[in-house]
Amino acid sequence: MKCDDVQERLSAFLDNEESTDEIEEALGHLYGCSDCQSFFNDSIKLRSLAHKDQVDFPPGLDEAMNFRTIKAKCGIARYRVKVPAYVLSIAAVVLIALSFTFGFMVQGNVQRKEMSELMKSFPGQVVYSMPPQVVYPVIDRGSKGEAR
Amino acid sequence: MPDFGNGKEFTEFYNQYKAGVYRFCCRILNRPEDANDVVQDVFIKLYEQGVRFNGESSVKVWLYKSARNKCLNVIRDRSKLTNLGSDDDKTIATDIVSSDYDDSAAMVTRLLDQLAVEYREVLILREWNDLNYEEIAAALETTVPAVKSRLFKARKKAGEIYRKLYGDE
Repeated sequence: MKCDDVQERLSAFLDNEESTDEIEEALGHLYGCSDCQSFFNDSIKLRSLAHKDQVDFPPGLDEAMNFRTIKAKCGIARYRVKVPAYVLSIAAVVLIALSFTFGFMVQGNVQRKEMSELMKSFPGQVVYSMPPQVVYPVIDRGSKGEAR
Repeated sequence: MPDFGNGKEFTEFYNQYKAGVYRFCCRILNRPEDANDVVQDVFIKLYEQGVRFNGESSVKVWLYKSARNKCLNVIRDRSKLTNLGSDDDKTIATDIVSSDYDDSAAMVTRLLDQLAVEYREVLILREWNDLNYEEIAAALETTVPAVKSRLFKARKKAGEIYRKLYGDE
């Protein structure tokens, strides 16, 4: 086992992220290796230094982080209405259905309007049967075969 | 799911995590006034994000992730300023760091200051803030094996720096 592998395992062992069974081989190596021993000692020394290190929380920060101040800083009044998910789903489906119905209605109206406009200028007549038939009026033609 | 609308839950989270987040920022940045600003920004952002969290652990990880990103931005801005600044500015900065390193706080400051940011952040999250590997991985947006490896390298590097600075005491 290489020293780096052993030290990586020892580092994880210090953090309780490696079980004793997994570390057994590394511990065996540790007893006979001065490099790994000094790594282990340094890591423990560093931990004790970190635990001794007191970082004092500045009291002024609490005043700055007052809830009202934050609310004012954000500039948003937070009003929330809790709507259940199933109500939102039903609302979405109804909205989609309504939009389709509205679309069909508008399209039908437009088509009917267009047809009636067309029929005004159309010389023939539509006979509503199955299938619909168009009956053209008889056009009186002159001797040269031109329509009058 | 936390709801910060009425302020009670937000205050609870703030009181629970303020010291940890401040300690993290203070040790990463090595400058309390910058840490102050970052902590304020982080908690204001937390309030704005509000209901987007799934439980307390996600708030904790989010706080450290957000603090870390903001600290990295501060460090980036600082390095730009240092590059632009004159040699006098650099001398002043070094003097501040190297003065009065007899007490343990100054020892820590000096040690961490010489450690690369990628090692510093992982070491602080583990040793100063007591986060487990999963939480560290989530905060640093990496994997647990990567955290394991980076922590080992950070400890090794920190040990070397410690010896260089203070000998075998």
